[in-house]
Amino acid sequence: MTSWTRRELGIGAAALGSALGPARAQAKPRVVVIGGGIGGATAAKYLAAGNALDVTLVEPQSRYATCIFSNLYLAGLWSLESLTHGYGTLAERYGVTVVKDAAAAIDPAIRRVRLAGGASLAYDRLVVSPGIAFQFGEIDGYDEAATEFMPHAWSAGPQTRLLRARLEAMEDGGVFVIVAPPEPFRCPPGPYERASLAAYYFKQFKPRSKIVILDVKDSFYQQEVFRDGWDRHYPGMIEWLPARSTGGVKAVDVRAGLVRTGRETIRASVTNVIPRQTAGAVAHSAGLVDARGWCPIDPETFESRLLPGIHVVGDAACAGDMPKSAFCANAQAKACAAAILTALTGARPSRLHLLNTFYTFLAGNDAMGDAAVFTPADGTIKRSGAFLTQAGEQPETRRRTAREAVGWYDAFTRDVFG
Amino acid sequence: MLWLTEATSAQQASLTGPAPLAARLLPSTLIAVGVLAVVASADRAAAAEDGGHLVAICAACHRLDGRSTGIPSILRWEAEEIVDKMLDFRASERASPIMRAVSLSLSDDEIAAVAAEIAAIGRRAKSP
Repeated sequence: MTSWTRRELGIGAAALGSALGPARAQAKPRVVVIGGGIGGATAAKYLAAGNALDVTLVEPQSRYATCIFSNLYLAGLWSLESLTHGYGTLAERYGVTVVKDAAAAIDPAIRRVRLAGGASLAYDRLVVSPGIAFQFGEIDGYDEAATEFMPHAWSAGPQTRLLRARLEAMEDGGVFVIVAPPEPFRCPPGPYERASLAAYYFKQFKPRSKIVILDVKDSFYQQEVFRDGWDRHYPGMIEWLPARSTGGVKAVDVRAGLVRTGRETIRASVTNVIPRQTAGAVAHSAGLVDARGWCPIDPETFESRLLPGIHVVGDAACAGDMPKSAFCANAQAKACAAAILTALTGARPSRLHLLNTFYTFLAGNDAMGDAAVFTPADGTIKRSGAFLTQAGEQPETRRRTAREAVGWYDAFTRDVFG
Repeated sequence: MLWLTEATSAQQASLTGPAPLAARLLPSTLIAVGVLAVVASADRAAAAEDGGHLVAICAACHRLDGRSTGIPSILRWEAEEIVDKMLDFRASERASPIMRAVSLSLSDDEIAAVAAEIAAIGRRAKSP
């Protein structure tokens, strides 16, 4: 998601006032949505769809590149442009007021959001979908400045472009090191899909190269399926080293291209450090984050347990068993929008449906499609069932899933961005 | 594909089949005839409202303009056909893990309501 820097972007206070004037005159309940990623854009659309609310989406960037399928860009299979979406349809078809600015502060006592550009927005309900921020300092030598040398590429855009450029510039026979993050993090299959698709690229263009995953964990999502795929497609190319065998990742030297674990120092041609994650910055400054680093929420309405009237959806929310995925953010945003419509307009409450799907690529024509169902229970959200891809499936099943995945991306991004 | 319940971990599950979740979410016996009766007898206004809300689940994967680019369009069928397909997914007669999860998470009434709504959207898409 976006980083909430205080940039002087977008329209000024006067323009903002006139833009919002007519909508205020209609006296519909006002909902402000902070963050135009998957959760925020979905929430804005579904809140505005019935034309019963005055919905404003606050987002500093005019276009959003999805993390979903950004590993296909790294593999050279998709362009970054094909992963990038605007907010025009949300504004034109659904009547969402899109304000190109960053939220600087939230004042829950008077229910107002102050924007970096100086204006402020009043709300009856606020939806915060800030995505993730990175916690630097855990790995010695890896700070914000270091991301220019060893990109995280864990929010899509310039960082993803930088990593792709590094992989393209790498010599055949080079070593690509991926430092995988601790739980919980955005997209549990992501680091391992990244290794798979980097290998897909290397196999074609730099077949003597190696990929080393330095994990700070001792297991990972769908490990058996990934390892089966690596053995079939890229034998000997990908090495996964769990924390128990390395002692964890201790330090990096970004200029020398060195990564030091508890046992050894590895010389990397290209390094991708995916750091520990926490809720996006605006959630922290607003007081929506607990000691775990994420936003505790009511499992039915996604209303903050810390600040009434403010809802949190997407990766920043502490949503029990639900993984931090785009699909979950979309499902949460719909549930949250329904709850807000019930609260503000008296719309009939409806039963929650929380699902997740992961389409994950092992190669260009080999994908897995996992599905899970979640249910609010005991004050949290529990996984009530799941269908998971198994190792050893027929190649045709995987090819079909890869074709499905492409169609899913098209339909899903239409659902989110209009 | 394995259907895993919350009692079984992802790595160690045995093949349990859909029974545990189905039993929890769907107290009534799953008979196609019974569900079709639900379609016929449902309070139409309430069903339409539920259906409208439930279509949001479909929209996360299916385009609702009649086009498809890898995920089949769902706008070309009558309500009864959609109910039949959903029951087939539930019974695993159609191989789609994702649709099986969706069909297991919906009650009989919800399947009837969403099928009616999807069929109505399909009719509107066809009319000029």
